[in-house]
Amino acid sequence: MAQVAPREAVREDVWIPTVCYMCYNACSILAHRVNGVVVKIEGDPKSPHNTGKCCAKGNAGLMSLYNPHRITTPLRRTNPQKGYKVDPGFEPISWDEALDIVADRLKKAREKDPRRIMLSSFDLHGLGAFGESFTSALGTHNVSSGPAGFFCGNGVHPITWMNHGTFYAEPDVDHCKYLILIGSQAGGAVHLNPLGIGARMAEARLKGMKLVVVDPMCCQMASKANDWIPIRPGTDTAFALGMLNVLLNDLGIFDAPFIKKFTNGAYLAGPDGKYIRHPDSGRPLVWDSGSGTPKGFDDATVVDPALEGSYEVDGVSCKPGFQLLKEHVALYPPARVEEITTVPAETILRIAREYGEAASIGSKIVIDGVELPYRPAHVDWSRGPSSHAHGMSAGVAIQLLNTVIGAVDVPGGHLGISGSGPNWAPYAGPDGLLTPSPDLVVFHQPYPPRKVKKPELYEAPELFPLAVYSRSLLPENLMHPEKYGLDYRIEVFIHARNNYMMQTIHPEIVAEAYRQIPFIVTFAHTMDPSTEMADIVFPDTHFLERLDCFPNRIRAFQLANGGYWYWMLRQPVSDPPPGVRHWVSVLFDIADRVGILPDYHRTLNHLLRLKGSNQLAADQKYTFEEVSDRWCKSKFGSEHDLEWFKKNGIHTEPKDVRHVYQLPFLNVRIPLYHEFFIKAGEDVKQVTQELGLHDWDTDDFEAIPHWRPCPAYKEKGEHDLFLINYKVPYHAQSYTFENAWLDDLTQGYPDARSVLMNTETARSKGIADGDEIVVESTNGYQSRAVARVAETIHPEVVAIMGTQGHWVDGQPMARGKGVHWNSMLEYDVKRIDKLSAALDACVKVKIVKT
Amino acid sequence: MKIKVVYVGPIRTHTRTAEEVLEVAAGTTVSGLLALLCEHHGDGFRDSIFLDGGHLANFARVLLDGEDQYEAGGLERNLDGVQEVSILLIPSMAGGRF
Ligand code: SF4
Repeated sequence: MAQVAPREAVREDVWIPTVCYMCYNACSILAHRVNGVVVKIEGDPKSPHNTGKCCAKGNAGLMSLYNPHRITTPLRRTNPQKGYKVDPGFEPISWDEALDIVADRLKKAREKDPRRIMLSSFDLHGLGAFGESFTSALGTHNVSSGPAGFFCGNGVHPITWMNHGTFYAEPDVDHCKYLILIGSQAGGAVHLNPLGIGARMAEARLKGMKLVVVDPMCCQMASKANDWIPIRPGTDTAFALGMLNVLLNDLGIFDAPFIKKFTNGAYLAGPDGKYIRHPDSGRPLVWDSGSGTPKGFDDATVVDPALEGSYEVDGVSCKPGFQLLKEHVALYPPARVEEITTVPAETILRIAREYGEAASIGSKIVIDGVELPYRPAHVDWSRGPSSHAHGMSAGVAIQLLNTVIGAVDVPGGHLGISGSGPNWAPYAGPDGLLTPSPDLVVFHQPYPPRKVKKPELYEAPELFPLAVYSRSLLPENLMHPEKYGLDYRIEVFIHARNNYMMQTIHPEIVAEAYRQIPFIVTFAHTMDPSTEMADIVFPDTHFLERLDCFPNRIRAFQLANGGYWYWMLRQPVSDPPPGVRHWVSVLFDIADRVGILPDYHRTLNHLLRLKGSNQLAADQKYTFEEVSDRWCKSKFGSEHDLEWFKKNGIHTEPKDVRHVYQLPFLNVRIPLYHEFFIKAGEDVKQVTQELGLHDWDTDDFEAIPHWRPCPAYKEKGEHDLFLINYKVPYHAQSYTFENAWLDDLTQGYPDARSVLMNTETARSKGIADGDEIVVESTNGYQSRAVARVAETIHPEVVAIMGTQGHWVDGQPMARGKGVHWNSMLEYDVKRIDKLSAALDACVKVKIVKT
Repeated sequence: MKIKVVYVGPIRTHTRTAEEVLEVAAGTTVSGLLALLCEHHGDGFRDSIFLDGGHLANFARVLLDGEDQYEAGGLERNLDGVQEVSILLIPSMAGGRF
């Protein structure tokens, strides 16, 4: 008779508050641990962030914790050949040996030139001040957040910094009546703060909020919308300019008082597009209709700044920025926009009218006893319009749809996340334009403009004065530093929670870039293709084994309108396997061995605001727990120490309505007319010419954007379909594909591994649903796939989901499944947006039935 | 009066020293000190801390006896009584002070 193992007695049965990290959204979760084993994950109902909800990825987090293929010891490469699908021949070594090797390489590189060291990590929750302090102490500014910055957010963040003084903005769904999403999944489970917004968006839809989704495919959000508007990829700028034309020129719908008070729409611009300035003060002038004279924009005697008309100041003819905008968008009548976008002219007219009417311009609302402007219509956009050769122009044009109706940081409008708070706020910078609080800035910001100069750094931010990052330049610069005037080489590259090989461009090109770096250190939880390029690998913890104070960084992972400020603790709910350490804690050991601990501590004291007895002494060593405890106490007082956070998980404070809806309470203006782009473009032109980069295109540096076609539009012949990439709610980046439960979910959804095609298009090529096909990109890369045929995709477009097509042995569950979309991309500087540094994800493919 | 100036991070490429003691006139402001340092250490130093148009970059931090100048009175605050000024260059990454 079969023996049944006796059930183990329950020694422990606890629910521990912590924070999910299956994607970057930092949801509060409760981990159920029984006898030392995590058996269940649920959303923490106490948290305003996700109000008890947890998505499929979060639920599946425990499966990657118990992944049998985890790295559990430091590894050293034995095969000097590095390459795509080349076995590194790793051998285990001790922590001491690995740390000594790394410290020695860092010291040598630092002696020659600290810039020879580069750190790259997308650990948005754990790294933060620790990474900034570490690289600052090393003396290098070569830092990166890695692959995501090739496409994601490039055409969003510069715009939100300029308009909201923060990193991101989200829809105020609680008060909105008409929401347009352009290439955005806001409210879906693959966007920023999705679980908090998603639930409230569902309520808003029940209460009658109209949702319009403009997207080449009927994505998750489009499937829930009132209107799905299929659009040709890369034409969002034209769509937005067309909408603006209807609003401003046909319907005369705009919020004049808002434009006069809170934008630079009244500033006068001359024939060269630049402001007309006061000869003495240098301040931009407006035309005061009250006195019939030009005056400084902030002159207290201005009665009524003109928005329309033509004027002459000291013999120079000029017009207000708003007038120029009206004239500019008249170049985009509905019929022309239909030609560019394929969106029917009557649809553009209808959506613009509905949008303008829903904005209820002039209306007010009282919230928490405070009367506020009420603009219950706005547009949200994301990676879709951004990941193109002219992606930031799309962001600028779309934002103008919010600006002209005054739907910026007011109820019903687009809300910046934490732009203002109890002791920080944007302020009026040069020319009165909104400048973010110095406390919030974490990447470069587009305003005030940065100096353009010959690159000193390997991502060449010096050539992208309006971008927040320029990650896409890294492979190019590693391979051709001399082209960009870089007179040194990267010698030591440290990376963690990044996978350039899978998440950027064709891995052969990435491997070639990696080969230029003599020494690569990687912190990794499991083996992936980028870790295979390393010389030394350190085993990193899983998120359920990590300690991270306040992973929901305030500039992004807070709901703008969640009613509260909140700070969470991610705490270990499971011991890491022996020999595995949280990589951020290892930075302290490295700093000590390199001899930079005093500077590391000094910068940490500043960035973590460690006060009094909680400050780190220059040469004393601390455990990561001790530093975290000091951080908690400095921030919230000694009663809120690390132990308090371990017990309670989250600290909340009520949020003032003035911080949710900040703009009415600020004395700042947002750009309606992007005058400073012109000078930035002139500077970029001059420096790139000096460098011999003669085909560096600066056409997009203009005060009001034009639509320009991506290079893929020039491809003719057999490569006749645009290839796009889309997301599903149960995957994030590439690592979730190596998770048993999520792999199961993917198997059950036939579209996920396939290439999606429009029914008519497929028929014209003799392809039926389920046929085997070959997809070939214009870069020559081919992949076999199965065709999935449906009407839910634009006829000129085919689509691949997520980052699939894994190939390393260390990811046996994901290996060999799906198509690797990134391999299809063209990597060429001509295809990088010169405003935002986004790599153009617009490629054409040929589809053939096998 | 004497002021100790400490440099942290990549700014040292331009100062070639980790710290120095300067003699400045009484009533010198933070701005005044920065102008003096730009004169001493040249355009590379200036370009590292100031944006186009002379605006102090957010990634350049000036601490007065450990306290950020933004909280300690701003650039026009005079340095009387301040012992140590630290100038930090913080790489633009993903942290910030929150
Ligand atoms: S949205 Fe992201 S952080 Fe939230 S539960 Fe899902 S995977 Fe976790």
